[in-house]
Amino acid sequence: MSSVFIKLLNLSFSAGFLILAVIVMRAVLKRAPKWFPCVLWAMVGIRLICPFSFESVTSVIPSSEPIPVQIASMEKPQVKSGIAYVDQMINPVIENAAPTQKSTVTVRPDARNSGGITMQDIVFIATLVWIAGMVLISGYALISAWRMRRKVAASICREKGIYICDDIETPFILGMFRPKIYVPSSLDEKTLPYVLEHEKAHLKRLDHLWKPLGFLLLSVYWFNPLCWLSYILFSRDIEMACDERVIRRMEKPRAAAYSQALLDCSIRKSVWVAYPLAFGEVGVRQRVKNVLHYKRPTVAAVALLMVTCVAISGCFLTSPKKDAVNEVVNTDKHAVQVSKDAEYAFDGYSVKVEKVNFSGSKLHVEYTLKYDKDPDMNTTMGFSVYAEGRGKFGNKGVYGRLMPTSDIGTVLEKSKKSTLMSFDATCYAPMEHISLYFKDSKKNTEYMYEIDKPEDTYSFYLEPGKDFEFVCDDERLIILGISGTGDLVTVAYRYNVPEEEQGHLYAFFDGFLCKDGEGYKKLVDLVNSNHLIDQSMELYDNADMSIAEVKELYYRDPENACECVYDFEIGINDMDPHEVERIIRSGVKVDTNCVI
Amino acid sequence: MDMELGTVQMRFADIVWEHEPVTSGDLVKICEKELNWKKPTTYTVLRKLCEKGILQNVDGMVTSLIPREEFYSAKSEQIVTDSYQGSLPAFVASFISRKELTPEEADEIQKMIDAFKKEG
Repeated sequence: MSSVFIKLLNLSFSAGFLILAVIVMRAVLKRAPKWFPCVLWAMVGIRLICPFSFESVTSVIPSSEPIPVQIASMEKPQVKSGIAYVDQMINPVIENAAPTQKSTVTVRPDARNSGGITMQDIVFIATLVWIAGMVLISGYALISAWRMRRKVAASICREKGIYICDDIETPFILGMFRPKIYVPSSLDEKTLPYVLEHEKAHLKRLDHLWKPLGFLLLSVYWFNPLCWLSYILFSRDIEMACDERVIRRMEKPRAAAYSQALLDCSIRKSVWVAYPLAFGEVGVRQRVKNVLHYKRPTVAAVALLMVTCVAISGCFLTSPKKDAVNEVVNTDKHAVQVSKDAEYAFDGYSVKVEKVNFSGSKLHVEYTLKYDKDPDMNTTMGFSVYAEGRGKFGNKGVYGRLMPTSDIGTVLEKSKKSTLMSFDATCYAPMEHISLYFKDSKKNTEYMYEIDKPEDTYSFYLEPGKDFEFVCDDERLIILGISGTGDLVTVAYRYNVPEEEQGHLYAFFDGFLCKDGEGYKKLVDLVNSNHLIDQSMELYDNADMSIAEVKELYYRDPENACECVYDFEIGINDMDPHEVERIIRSGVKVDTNCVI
Repeated sequence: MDMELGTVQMRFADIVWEHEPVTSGDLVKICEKELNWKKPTTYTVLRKLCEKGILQNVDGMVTSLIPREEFYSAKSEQIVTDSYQGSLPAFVASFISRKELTPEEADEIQKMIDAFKKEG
């Protein structure tokens, strides 16, 4: 039920924009015939009823799902309204105010119940309040409908479908399937024909169905003030559209008599009718004005209004396109790759990828890690990544791109499941804070895992069933994202260079950081021996070292025929300029923008 | 006695005047036939007219407290009192101003006035 509620919150968020647009259009085109706002309200209704919408580039709605459905179980609850300002306002508040209770982090079990009220509690309570409000409002409507029915029981039939009643003040229609018109007996014979024409026009327009439908939506979306406003305006527009239908074929004198009847009816009316579905609670001034000023719209005007309708539905009835592809491309820049049987050596370590396996929604990689200086160390480790956005990372972190090896390829072929996964993950790992953020764009779900003050080992486990394990021995390493599409998973990361170490040169090899000469020389060696092929390399920004900078470095992988682009900065102080030149000449192409 | 009756109550009172004395059970049947009313509706309207002092329901026997003719004359008297400060000529004048009298109607009224003068 909570997820239904959050879904409705999201729907009402995007509907809010449509409602605002409709209100603006109503005001701008107030001379337009009144069926036009009715059509606009119908679009609002569709938006509120239909849980799905097409993605479109024309959509101006900033986000189709500002509140993630799993917000209660997220480690770090966040909203994504698509409006940066709103997010910045809300997110710190909910993050601090409402830690999720079922913390999946086992590092500090004592930290679990520290927060008091949790996000889950908030969502639960909000859902209860929502249901209570819904029951209250629809109950009110049902009771007043029932009381109205009792009131009009003592009525006599004037003609078919039209009843006269002593105890009512205004004419109205009651019933949805067999609607009946009730008129107060105090209405004089002069006014009655116009009143009846008005009510019959309501029946022809099926307003006795639209209005309860609007009220039903209101009782569901009662928490949204814009929906109340819409209902009120919608009721007005219905009345005026109905008036227009009545006077459409009337000559001026009869139209004047009709507006006189409107006025007569309204004088006797005292309070807002308790029964919310009764017609007629609209400002009579506005209505009379509307009737007297009515002009038949020209064909051009009608065409223009139709175009406006289409434009509004294109902009507000659709949801924004998600550019998952872009995200992958972006994170790709910081990627290293892991393929089956690949071997990597660095700083005395060697890694061999033993197994890359894809089954169902799970991608599993196993590898052995050896250390030259410690022959006893020969560990097999692995990590798994799930379509749901959980993964398992081994020691030293295999921050890798999983290449579509034959294994994965065949499994994919067999299971006929293509491009199952797409993730984004963020792991911030300063001393006191690690957070992981996952997004499965296929399912459009998001996950947030967070850990405060991790233990020295920086290992933590995430629910369910410790599916996620992450080990990091350097707090300065930041995982920027994990993204992938089934056969390709990319993990992006960044190394935070502390201020006191600025001036040194850092390079990444296969996810491991090399500082100054040692790692850097390896890089140079690799370049010289063309080892860059099938390996990947990254150089990272070193804070303010901008004396020399190579913006883009290309290298070609002859096997996969792919070209990669890297950004890096090189501190000229740490490096012989001739050496830089040599790197560039040895098959590495440097962008023309480079400054050396 | 409250003379203010709506169209529906008027119609109900007419039925009672027509059939009185009538048992409430029979009245329910008549109203069901003529007005398509359910039993509680008939009782509700009956109760209201009893409260106004026009009808009475004694042991299930419904009778009127005022004959039909008397009710109408009282009602017209009330109109004259309420709207014309009790002045009959003012009432007649306003009536005539709105609607032309036919010679026959004028004669009839004249006769009524003559008869009244003789009595006096």
